[in-house]
Amino acid sequence: MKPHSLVFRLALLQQVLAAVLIAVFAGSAVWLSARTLERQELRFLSATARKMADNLDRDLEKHDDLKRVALETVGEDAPVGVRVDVLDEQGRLVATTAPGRSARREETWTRRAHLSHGGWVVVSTSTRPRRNAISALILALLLTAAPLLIAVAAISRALARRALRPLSRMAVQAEQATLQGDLRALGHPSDPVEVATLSTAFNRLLARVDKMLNTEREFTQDAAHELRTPLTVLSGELERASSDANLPESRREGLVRAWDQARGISGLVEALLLLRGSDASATEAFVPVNLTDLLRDLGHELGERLPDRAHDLEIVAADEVLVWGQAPLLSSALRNLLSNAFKFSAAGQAVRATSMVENGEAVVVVDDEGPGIAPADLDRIFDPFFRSAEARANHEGFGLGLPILRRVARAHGGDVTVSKSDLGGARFELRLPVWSSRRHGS
Amino acid sequence: MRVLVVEDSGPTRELIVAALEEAGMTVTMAARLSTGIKQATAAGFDAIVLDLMLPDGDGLDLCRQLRAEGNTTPILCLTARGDVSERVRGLDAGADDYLRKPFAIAELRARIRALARRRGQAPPTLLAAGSVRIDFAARRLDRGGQEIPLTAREWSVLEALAARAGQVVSRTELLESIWHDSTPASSDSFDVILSRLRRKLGSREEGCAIRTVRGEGFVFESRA
Repeated sequence: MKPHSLVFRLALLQQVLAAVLIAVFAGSAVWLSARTLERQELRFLSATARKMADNLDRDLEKHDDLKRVALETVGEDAPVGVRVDVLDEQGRLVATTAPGRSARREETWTRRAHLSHGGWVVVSTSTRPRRNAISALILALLLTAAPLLIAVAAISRALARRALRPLSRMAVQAEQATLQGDLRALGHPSDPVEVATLSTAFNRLLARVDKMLNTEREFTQDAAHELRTPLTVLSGELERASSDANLPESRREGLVRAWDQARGISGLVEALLLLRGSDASATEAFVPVNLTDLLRDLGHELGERLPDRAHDLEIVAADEVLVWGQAPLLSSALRNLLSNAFKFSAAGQAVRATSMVENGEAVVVVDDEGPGIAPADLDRIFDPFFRSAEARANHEGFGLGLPILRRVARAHGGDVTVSKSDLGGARFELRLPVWSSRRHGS
Repeated sequence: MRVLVVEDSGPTRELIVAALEEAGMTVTMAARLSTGIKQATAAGFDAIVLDLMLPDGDGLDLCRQLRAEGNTTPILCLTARGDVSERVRGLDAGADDYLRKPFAIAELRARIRALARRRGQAPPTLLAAGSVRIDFAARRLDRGGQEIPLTAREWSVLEALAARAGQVVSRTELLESIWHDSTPASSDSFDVILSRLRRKLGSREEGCAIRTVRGEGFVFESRA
């Protein structure tokens, strides 16, 4: 049991309380008994001394010889266990019930009475019987207290754990809710008031979070759906216009660029839908996708868009690198990697794209001969809106491409990483689980 | 070629109409499901372009109604939603093809031409031959009890061939059926796709195969 556990603390508290209570009870019992015994003893001694003094005084009325009278009376009247000494006016011992044992070292209680004819009667008794009685009492108390304490120790832990059970149940519920990704109510009808208050407060909070999440999810989905229709018109009209053979070449090129951008926005919208939609509906739309095909298409596309850089691109591709996924999203993810590599390298610097299957993973690696990524930026390059000094100085952008790329990769069950390339520049590595037969039946 | 376009959004409708007319097609348009159904049953069309989300109902109702009446006009569905279940729902209702917004104009034209050409010759929904089992609706191929993955392009070629099983389909037609992110496939990538598809289907003895007819095109043949 950890020292910081609440169960441990509660149990410890109960045990300390029990120990203190038992100690106080036992202490006061012993003290009271001792005091009562002492009082009775002293009262008895006083009475005895008085009575013997009265007897001596009566006898002394008849014979005025203290020594003779004292020796007679003391022998007859002294109670058992009590020592009686008779002293004369000068304090000399005249008679005693314990002859020869005058110098007793033992602790005693003593009471004396004055004789009206001069002299003293001194009565004393040993404290040992009382001490023995108290010792017996203490022993009895200890013998009862020890098992009592052990019992309290055992029961208190069980009690504390039982009292805290509603809390541990809530923790389990919260853990399951996290695992299963849905926010459901915490608590149990049998919970005590304090825990019920807590779970009610939590549930209110959860309901709010859930509502916010749903609103946001619905908004993103609605927005994406609403965006698809105007995007159809936008890219469609640009496509029509750019295919008009009567247009001057420069005008046509501008329209093609605009059309490219419109398709870029479409890609972003699809990415938003994938990233914001519930996991189930996103992966339901997954089909077998060959990353090599995507890479080759992008190579063609780049060759048309940047004819002067077409020779800088080298594609080393295995025939089939299959994954489960959404082709448009994976395509725009790879387009992002390739465009970045071209953006950050100059004409004449090579860009190498490799696709392969390695250890059950589909891998696409994009290397370039550009300046590479500063080691300090390697960790932050996938953060939204992060832009390196190099990017801010020389290139346009919002710093959203790589974060979206990473999220697309993760939504496909993989990831993207960055490192230094053997070509001298940056190396981006996209790794996804390779296609394998699954579920289906739908 | 006569095409009916049922689409409620004005700009989208005008875009489709203009794009199809530029390609030499005669276009009739409808903005509502009710007018669409009326026109589709009144006149004969070579193809229907159908938006699924219409103000007065589900576009698939038009599919079901036409098919119930024995009308086999090919139907191409347009949707702003794009999950697999939506595709299956459309095919179940009798639609022939399915295009997700936003789409490329060139692809829309090619799909309509392909649909009109193979009129009444939709691929079978399920084909079982030897150890090969092809579920065209769910897009699943099993060979010898093992699931074999086909990419969207491989399915397009397979569907175009299976729709006219036993007949020769020209290389040009097959090329038109494959689209690379809105640009038509080049001839060499078609060869790559065809050879992969042949490898995945296996030999003729296992169930089905694609045979080359020199100078003419390709034939899909299946046992039994």
